[in-house]
Amino acid sequence: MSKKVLIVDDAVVMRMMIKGILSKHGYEVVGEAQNGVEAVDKYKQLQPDLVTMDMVMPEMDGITAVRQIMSMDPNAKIIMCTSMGQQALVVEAIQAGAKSFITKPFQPPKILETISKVLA
Amino acid sequence: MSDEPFDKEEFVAYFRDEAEELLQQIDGDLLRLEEFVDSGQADPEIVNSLFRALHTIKGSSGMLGFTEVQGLAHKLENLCDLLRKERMPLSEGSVEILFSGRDFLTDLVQAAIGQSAPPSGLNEFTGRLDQFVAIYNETSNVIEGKAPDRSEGGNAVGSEPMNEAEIAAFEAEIERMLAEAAATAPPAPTTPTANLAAPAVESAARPAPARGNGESADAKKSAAQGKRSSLAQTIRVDIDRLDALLNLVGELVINRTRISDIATTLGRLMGDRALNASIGLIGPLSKDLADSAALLARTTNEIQESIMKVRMVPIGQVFDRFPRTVRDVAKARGKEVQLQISGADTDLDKTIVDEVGEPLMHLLRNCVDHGIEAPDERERQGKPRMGTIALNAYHEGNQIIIEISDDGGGINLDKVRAKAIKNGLIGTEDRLTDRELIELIFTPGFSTAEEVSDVSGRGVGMDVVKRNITKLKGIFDVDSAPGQGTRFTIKLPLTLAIIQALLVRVVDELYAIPLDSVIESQRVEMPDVRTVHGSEVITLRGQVVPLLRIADFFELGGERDPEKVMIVIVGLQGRQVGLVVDSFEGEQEIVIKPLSDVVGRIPGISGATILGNGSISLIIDVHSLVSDAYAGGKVTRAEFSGV
Repeated sequence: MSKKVLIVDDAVVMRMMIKGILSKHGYEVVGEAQNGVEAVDKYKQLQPDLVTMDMVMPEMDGITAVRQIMSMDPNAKIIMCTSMGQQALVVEAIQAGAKSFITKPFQPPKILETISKVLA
Repeated sequence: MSDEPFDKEEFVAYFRDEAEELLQQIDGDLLRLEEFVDSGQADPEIVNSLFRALHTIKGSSGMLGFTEVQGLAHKLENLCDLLRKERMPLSEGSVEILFSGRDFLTDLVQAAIGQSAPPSGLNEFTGRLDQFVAIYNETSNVIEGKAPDRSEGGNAVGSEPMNEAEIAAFEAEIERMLAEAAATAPPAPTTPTANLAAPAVESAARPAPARGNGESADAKKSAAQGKRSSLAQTIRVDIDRLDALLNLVGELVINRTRISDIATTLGRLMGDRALNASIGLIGPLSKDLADSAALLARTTNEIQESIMKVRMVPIGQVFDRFPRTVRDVAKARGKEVQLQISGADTDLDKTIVDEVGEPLMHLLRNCVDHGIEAPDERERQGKPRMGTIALNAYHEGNQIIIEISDDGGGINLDKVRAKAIKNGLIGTEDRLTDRELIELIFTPGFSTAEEVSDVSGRGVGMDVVKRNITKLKGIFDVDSAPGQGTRFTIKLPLTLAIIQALLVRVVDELYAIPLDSVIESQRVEMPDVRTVHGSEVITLRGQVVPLLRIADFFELGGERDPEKVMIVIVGLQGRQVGLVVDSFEGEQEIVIKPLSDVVGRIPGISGATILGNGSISLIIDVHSLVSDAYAGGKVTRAEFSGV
């Protein structure tokens, strides 16, 4: 059965792109969220196998969302989508429980590789 | 794994829409931010919102390879970061540079999606921006006693958008930091099964919680949340798809009329004695058809209404950019102006919303430039120093009314008169009513080149505004009271696609005349038609109305009736013309189909429609015919008043 993915990003272009790449490679994108609050809600509701999480978002940022999701489901698999210069935040997110990260602007092979590693 | 390229084209439209939305949001944020300049302290909520918008634009443009957009967004994001970390005071200078940056960013986005040439002066601007940022960057480094360090958290100030080597370095650094953290702070926090409450490290780069005026910030936040959630329930639809759907509905509407026609004919046949033998068969069939036609009619109407509603968008989409314009113009002119907007949620057809922005913008500029007096002058007149411009939209029947009013000096009729004489629009002897004088400002050639300022001029006169409104089948009016202000009123139809029309026959052709411009239709005996300077006119309730023979205008030939003429009186803003036709064929709802490019623009025709019986009817462009009858030199205003 294909793995279920939740995409969290406030930029519609990013969501579309990640969705495009993942759908083409056999993942099932079960939901999209545009901020941390939605991400937590949809995680609860959809129970995805994997979450891609943007860092900078309105309402609730990515790290806070990671904390909340991890407290609901300690086995949650979350990958951070980060921009250059956010080192400290990436470290913080991983300490909060995120499994890995990808750096924007990412290339399709890179994101697929990271995901398959995390899901392995 | 295949190294497939992105199909970027697919995402460009999304990027454009998203960027437009975000740039609009940035504009709003900046306007709000400006209010805090006096205190020197920015509302963190606003700065965060700015930061996020720029960050999103940077990310999306980066994915699409729009490096110029990405670069500038990055620099502006850095500036916001300094504000956010309170390393840079909020000043007029910083807001100004953000405003300019936002404008350059808009131009770059347009250029990136191929809608315009790259903006000039970008290099100078980024130079200025870099310098500006450098000052504070150095200051803060001196204060904190260290060199800029990327590992410090948040965005490394001054760093350029990334290339692959830099990304690799960035990722390596994270790995190093993670290893460091693991070594110094066991237990290993990356263990998947461990649900460790992560140490609450306050990072400066994380959106800071609202500080200080907590209550208002909270209120703003919840308002923003409300807006977000309503956004979440909408989807973007390509307007072409809606048009295609509307087109199909148009076909349905036509078919509905056709089926009704058939049902009626069948019903009539049933009364025919000669068909008596078959009545047993036709009877029930006819009734079925009539029922089915009625059902089709009802469904079609509902679909038509729904589609119309889908095409409706709040006019506020256009209003959003006005506060910025008013601010800029007022600033450039040394005036104090507040813009009050109401009715932003009034719905209007998307096509009209797109077209109405420019004329409104021009009117607003005009109000600030010519309407509102200088602050000192206002004070002398006992008015508040700050002028007010009110922009209001509301529905009235099948129309939307947009009013722009200011509390400025009103239109100076003496000046208008003097200028009109100077430009040769009227003679020194002409006696015009106040109304007619005001109308003069809509005359082409009234705005002269010397008046073209960088603010409201731009070589566009009120005549162009009026023409644009008229093109949208709208009505444009102006009221003015000396010393008290001016009010522009625009009335627009809610949609342009389906209208009521009066069908008329001329020679062998059927023409449709939009009903909203028809005043009346009547039969006039030839002796009542007089000739003035070679043009036919009639007198209607004391007013002289020129006649225009459709057959002549379109060169259809045909015989003239020596005894009478059938006339449709059409009017636009007080100017009337009698269109001479052969017969009236009743009213009908028609779906406007634009003429294709192959046919090109035909003077006097605004489009075509397909009638119930499948035949095609051309739609008369009343505006151009009325203008033609007056401006074409056939009858002048002076001759009119003399008759």
